[in-house]
Amino acid sequence: MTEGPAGAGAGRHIQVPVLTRVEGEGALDLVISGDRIERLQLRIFEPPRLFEKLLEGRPWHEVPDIVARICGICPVAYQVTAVQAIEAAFGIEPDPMVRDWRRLMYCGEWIESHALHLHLLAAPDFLGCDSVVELAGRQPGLVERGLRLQALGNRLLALLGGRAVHPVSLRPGGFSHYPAAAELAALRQAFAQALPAARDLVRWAATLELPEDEQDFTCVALRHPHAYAIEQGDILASTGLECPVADYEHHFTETQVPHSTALHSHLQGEPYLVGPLARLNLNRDRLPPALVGLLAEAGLHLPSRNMFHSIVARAVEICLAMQEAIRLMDRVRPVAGVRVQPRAGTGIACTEAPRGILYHRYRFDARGRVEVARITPPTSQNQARMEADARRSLERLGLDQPDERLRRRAEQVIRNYDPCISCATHFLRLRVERR
Amino acid sequence: MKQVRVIGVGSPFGADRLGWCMVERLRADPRLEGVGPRLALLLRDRPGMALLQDLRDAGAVLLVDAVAGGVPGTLVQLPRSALLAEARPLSTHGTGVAEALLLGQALGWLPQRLELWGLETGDGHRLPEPEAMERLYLALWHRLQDLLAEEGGEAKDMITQTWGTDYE
Repeated sequence: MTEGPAGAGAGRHIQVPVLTRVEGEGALDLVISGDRIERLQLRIFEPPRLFEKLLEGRPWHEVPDIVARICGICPVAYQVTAVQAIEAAFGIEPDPMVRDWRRLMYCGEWIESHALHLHLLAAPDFLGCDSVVELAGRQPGLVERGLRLQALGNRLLALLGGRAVHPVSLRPGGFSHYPAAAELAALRQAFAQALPAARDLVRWAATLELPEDEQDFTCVALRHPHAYAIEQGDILASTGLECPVADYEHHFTETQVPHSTALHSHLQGEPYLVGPLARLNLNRDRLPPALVGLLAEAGLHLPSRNMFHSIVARAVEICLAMQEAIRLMDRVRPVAGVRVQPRAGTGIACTEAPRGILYHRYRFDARGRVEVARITPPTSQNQARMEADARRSLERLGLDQPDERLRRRAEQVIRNYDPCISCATHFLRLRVERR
Repeated sequence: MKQVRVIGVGSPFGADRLGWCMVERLRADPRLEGVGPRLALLLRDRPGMALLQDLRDAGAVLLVDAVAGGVPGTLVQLPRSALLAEARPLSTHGTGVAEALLLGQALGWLPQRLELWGLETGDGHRLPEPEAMERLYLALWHRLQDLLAEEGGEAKDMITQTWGTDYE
C-alpha cells in the first residue's frame, strides 16, 4: 500500500504500510531528499516475543518443544539446534546414525520452506504477477510443481516427526520415534520420482530474467569438512574468518535499534548475508557432482554478487536436499538413543535454518534447568543487510522514479531474503517521504 | 465415480480440535463400518497449501473446521463461493483454508461441491457445548448421506477410514 507524496515540495516520503508476501508485521520507511536517500529503515514492529526469557527456569527436556513454537515453517531448525546445544552442555555424543536422521529431517524442512517461498512468494515478483494466484492462472504447471515438491518436504517431516508442524520426535541423545521401514521406502520412491522435477526447477530458475544488481556483501555460512553444511559445521565468512560455532559471539555483535523490535547483527561492524546464496557461494565445492554439472549447464557462475540469485540458490538447495534425502533414506536405521544426564554447564550450537545460520546458547544449572538462553535467528542477522541492499537497489533504480515503482522494488528486494519476522521477533509497510 | 471426502482441519489446541472431533466421530460411527474406499475421512493438522492435494480430483468435499469469533456453538455452513470470497493475500506463515482455496481455484483443482461446516467458537479457547457439537454432527451426517447418494450407490460399502497421512 502506498501513500502518495507528502506534499508538492522537493522531498518525498513514501510508506509501504504493510509488506505483503512476507511473514510477520513490518514496514519500510524511506525519506528522499533531492537525489539521495536521507533515511531508509526496515521497521519491525511485531511485539517482542521474549522466548529467551520464557525459557529461563524450564527443564532441558521442554526446550526443544518450546523453541519449535518460534516458527511454524522452520521448527526443525529450532529443534535440532536446541537439541545439539543441550547435548553440548551435558557432554552427550549421539550415535552418528542419529545425526543422519537429523540431517534427513532437516532436508524435509529445506524442501518445504524453499518450495513455499520460491513459488508462492518470490516467483510472482520475477514474472510480473501480483500473487501466486495470478501466476497459477498463467503458469499452472510451475505452481503445481512447486506444490508437489513442498508436499514431499512435508511428508518427510510428518513421517519422521509425527506431524509436519512442530514435530515431536527430536530429542537430545536420539529420537523418540522412528518410521516403519516400509513407509520410508515408499517415501524414498516418491522422492526419486520427483527428482527430475527438482532438476527442472533449477534449470527454470537459472533462466529467469533477474535484475542485474552486482554488489559487494559479506557471506556467512556453516562449513563442513566433507558435506554441504546443514546441521553441523564451523562458521565461515567470505572475509576469511573461520571459527568454531562456540566462538560466534566473539565475532558477531547484536545491537538494538529504535525502529525495530528485532536486533541488528554485524560482523566486525559490517552487515552480512546468511541464507541460501551465502551458503552456495561459500560451499559450492561441497555440492554433489550432479548438481555442479547442472549449474554449469544452467550457466550460473559462483560466487554470485547478485542478491537476486537467491531464488536460483533456493532451487539448487531444493534439488540438493532431494538428492541428500534419497541418499540418507538408503542408509538410516533405527538406533537407540543416549540417556541424558543433566549437569551444570553451557552448550552452544549453530545450524543452517532455511533462511541462514541459527545460533543457540543455553546455560543450565545442575538439575538441567535453563539459567540463560540466547537465540539469534537468521532474519535478525540479515536485517542490516536488507536495509543496505534496499538503499543501494533503490538508488540504482533511480530515486526520481514514481513512488509506486520504488515501493515495488523495495518489496522485491526485501522479499528476496525470505524474511521471517516472527522468528526475528519480529513485516512490510513502505513510507517514502520526499523533501 | 469420484470420492467424497470429509476433511477435519485443525490443531491440538482448544476449539481448533473441532474438525478432528467430528471426523473421529464419523470414523467411529458403526453405521459407516465395513464400507469401501469411495468415502475418505481425513484429519489434517494446519495443512496450509497441503490441503490442495486433498481437494484435487474429489467428487465432493466437506471441510470441517472451527470458526473464529461469533457466538460459540452457532452452526456455520459456507458454500464454495462464500469460502472463496473470504480469501486474502498469501504469506507463508499465514496460509489458511481460504488462501489455499483461492490458489486451488486458479489451478482448477476445486471440486464443484465444496462446503465448509463448523461452529463459531468465540475466543477459540474451548470446544462449544456438547449440544452444539451434536447439532453439527447430525447436520454433517445428513449432508454426507445426500452427497453419497448424489455420487451414486449406497452409503455403506463406500467408506474408508484411512486415506493419505493423518495428522500431517
